[in-house]
Amino acid sequence: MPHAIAIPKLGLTMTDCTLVSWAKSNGDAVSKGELLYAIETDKITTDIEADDTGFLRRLAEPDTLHQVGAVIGALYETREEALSERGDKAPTPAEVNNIPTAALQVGPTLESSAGRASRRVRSSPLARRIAASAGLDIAMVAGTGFGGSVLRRDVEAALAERKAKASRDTAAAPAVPRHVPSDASGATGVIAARRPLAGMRRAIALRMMTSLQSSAQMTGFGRIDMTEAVRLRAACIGREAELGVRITYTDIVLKAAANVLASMPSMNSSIVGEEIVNWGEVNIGLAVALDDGLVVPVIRNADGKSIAEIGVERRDLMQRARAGRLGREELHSGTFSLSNFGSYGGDFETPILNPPQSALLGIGAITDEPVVRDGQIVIRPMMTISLTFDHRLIDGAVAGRFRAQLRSALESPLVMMARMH
Amino acid sequence: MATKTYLWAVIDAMREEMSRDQNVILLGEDVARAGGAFGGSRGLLDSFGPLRVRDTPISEEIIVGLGVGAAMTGKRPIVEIMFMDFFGLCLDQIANQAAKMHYIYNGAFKMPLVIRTSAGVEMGIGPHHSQLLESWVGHVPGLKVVMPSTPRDAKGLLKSAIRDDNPVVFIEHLALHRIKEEIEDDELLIPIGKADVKRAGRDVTVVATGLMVRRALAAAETLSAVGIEIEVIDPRTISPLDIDTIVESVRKTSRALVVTSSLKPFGFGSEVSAEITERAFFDLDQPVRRLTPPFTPAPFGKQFDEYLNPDAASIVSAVRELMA
Amino acid sequence: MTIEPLDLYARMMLIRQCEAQLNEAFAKNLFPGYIHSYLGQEACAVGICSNLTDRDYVVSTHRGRGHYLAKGMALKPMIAEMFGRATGICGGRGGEMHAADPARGILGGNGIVGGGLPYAAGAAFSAALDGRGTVAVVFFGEGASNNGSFGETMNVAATWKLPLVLVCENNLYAEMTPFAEMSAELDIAKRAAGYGMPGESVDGNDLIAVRESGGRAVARARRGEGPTLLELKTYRWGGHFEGDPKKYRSREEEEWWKARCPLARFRKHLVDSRLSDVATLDLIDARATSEVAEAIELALKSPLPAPETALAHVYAV
Repeated sequence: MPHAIAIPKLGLTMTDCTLVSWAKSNGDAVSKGELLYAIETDKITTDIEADDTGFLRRLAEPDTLHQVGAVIGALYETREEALSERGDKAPTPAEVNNIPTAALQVGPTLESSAGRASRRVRSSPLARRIAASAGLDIAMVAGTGFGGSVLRRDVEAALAERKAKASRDTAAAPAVPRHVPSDASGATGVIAARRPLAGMRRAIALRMMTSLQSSAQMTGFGRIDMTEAVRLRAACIGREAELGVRITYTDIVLKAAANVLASMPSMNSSIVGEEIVNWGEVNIGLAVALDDGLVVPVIRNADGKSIAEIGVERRDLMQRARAGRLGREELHSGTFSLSNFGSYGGDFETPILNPPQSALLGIGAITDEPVVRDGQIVIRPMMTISLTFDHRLIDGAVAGRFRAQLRSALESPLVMMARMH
Repeated sequence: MATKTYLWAVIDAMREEMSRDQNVILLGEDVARAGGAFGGSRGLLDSFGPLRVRDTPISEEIIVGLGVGAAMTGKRPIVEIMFMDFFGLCLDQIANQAAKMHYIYNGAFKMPLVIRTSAGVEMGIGPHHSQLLESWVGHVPGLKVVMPSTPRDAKGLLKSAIRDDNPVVFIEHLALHRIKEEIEDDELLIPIGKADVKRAGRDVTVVATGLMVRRALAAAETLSAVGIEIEVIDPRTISPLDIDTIVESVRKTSRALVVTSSLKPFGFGSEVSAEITERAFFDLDQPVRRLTPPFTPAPFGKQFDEYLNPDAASIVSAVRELMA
Repeated sequence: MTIEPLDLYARMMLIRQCEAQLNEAFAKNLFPGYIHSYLGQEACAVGICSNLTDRDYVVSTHRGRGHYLAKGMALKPMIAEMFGRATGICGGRGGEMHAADPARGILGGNGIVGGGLPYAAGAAFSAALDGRGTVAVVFFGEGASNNGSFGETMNVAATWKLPLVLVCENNLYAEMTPFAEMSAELDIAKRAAGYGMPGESVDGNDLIAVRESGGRAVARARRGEGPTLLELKTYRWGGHFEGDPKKYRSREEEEWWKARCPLARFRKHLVDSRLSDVATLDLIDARATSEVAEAIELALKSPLPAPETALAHVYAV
């Protein structure tokens, strides 16, 4: 029984999507977890991984519209099954033996392996040689020879397609730039391990490169005296029953940033195409580290939520992020992001923007440090903020003003409260 | 330059060599007075006399034996066994005596013996006069086996065979006797053991012998019209086989077909296929194929011959399958 | 041609010693392969070959040492060849059944019964073309007389008047079968008439008789009068090969023939006709014995050919 490949529901409100591209060809071997195809909803493309292992038969082609749950392909046990439904005209060995040429013994072809359950690829020695020297896995090549065997022309076709696809991919979304070495021999010459760049890692790699190549990013730093924030938090500890959550510094900073953003629309904007768009909502994405990656779930309308509400949402999102159960709208429509590298011991960094956002606030660890107040050296809990901004849109003075207002909010939370709706 | 038939090319070769060297003699049934059962030694008795051109009784062992003994004692005999089917009657003298004298006696004797014979393939004569048995003799170390397909090759190779100090089985085809070719007047010596690329091509290597060479060339024209270019190689010498020329071709084309009048099991095609596979396996995009008549004796009558034997059309089919 | 009688005796004794001592070596497991003993047939080889010069050709059989020595092949290289040594006359490659010496016209032995007849005719034909009176002699057994090659050779030799002497050593047993069971006509010499050539039946153990009939046949051939079939009636003391249990004949028969030993008979003739004396003859015996012993000892100490030499001489360059 073949395994059906159906469009998954990627969020509460998703109903349909466009099939953008396939990562594999007919007859290809597919492993569970491998990137298999990409779909697009609301102008955002998502890579979908295979949820089973087998040989692929594509039932839908790119640029077609599908409902959630529509079957766009199937995974078969053997390559022959995956290919056989295509209606290929390649004759079977039996047909070859019956080709009428009087009694001439034009000998039989390679023994038919139709009965064998083996997954060995039948291919000509020449085809194997060419594939091997081009670094192409011959199991990925569809064969058009007798009995489905892979011949030179099939390998050459696959190589040509691989080349064409590579240049398509480069045109569509800037992938790894050409100057990045394609082999690992440059560094030390000794390879300890290797694995394909795939899945989430690949998505992150692409996103990071795209981000840096599509905006003029600069990072400005600030130092914030968190004494009052500490007091605020201390007051909340022990009141979880009322608040519904154990308040964290992230919640406090997120609230402060949301408030400042609400009063500084220029920080809550994006360049989209040839336009500058001021967003109507303050949706702050919160960077959550996963085992081998990163997701940024979004707290929407953070300026209109209390610290406690933000905290509750923050906790829920982080849990679901780690369980891989975030909905699509929770990952998108952020207008600003917050990254807490203090949680892994960082002080200040130069975080990378999440396009199309124009600013990202990074906060470091809060540590007791000696500072000068009124001519005296005192110990205060200090935190460094790293604000990356897109200098195409935001000038240094504007970014500086944001930092100043944020400091003001965090160093005088009561005043912040006084201003809140 | 003169246009010569295959038959006359053979006669000319013998005449030239017998003129050049007194020790060259010719023995066989009807070779002298009748000028050859098929006319293959016309005029030689008149030119060289009854001591050097001699009719023998129907005694195949003696025909070859006379050659063996004479070759061991200073002569350069050419002996004729009328049909290759008769080899069974004299295989001892050919394979046990002639082939091994030089070897057993540590080089003490040379064996400058030529055994000329004819294959009656496709003459419709019947099962005892149709066989092509090059495999029998190709399998014996010490023998050389030559099988020309054109008049010029026949002349040049027979002269080389006569000058060779080894026993050479020289296989002619009755069906080729009348084909014509321009042959130069000056001394023509074609080396034994060298194949001839009769037609260059990039898609399939077709190794053909005897009657099949011309058919392969005809097939080449048909195939060329549909964009398939075959390379036709005539080995000319069966043993020692010029496998290098064949392999070089296969490296270029990645596909090979061997076409023979002789049969498939244990045959010449098997040898070529095995050699190609051993030496050029990683250049092959298709298995090496052999095109032969079916594994039967040849019954009497031309209608059977036409039915059983590969022709240009079947060569075309076989090539197209390789290209599929 | 004139040869000293003692010379003839010495040649026969050399063959006798050679065969006897090689049999012993075989029994001691020193001999590779089979051994086909010529014991008891010495008069045949010596009688015939004593009429030949180095220029004349001899084609032998699988039981050839008598012929080789009688035709003048050097003892030491021949013995070395028997033991397959590199110093053998064929580099150790031919061995017991295949020894040749072109300089003495010895054109080899044969592993094929009857295989020598056709090419012996070829040598005779070549000799006829040369026109120098050279003669070819082919030895064969009565078993070969029933082989197709015999008939073909007899016919062409007679028809073309080839200078060929066909010497059939009828030792009554072809391999392990009595000739009497394999042929309706037990006198092979009679076949000659059927082919149109003279044939003569001779006591093969009588050296003088063999020599004289051989002499006549050779002379005819030299004169261009064509071939002769000589049937030498003899007996081999050993089996077809050593180790053959000889179940096909009786001990009485063997004893009867041994009593007619060619050497003993000739010795008696020499002594009786005062051509020699016992002491001289004993000396000859002793010399032959020691020569052969020396040759065998030398052979056993000689190196074997390098295995790679098996690849040489498949083709002449």
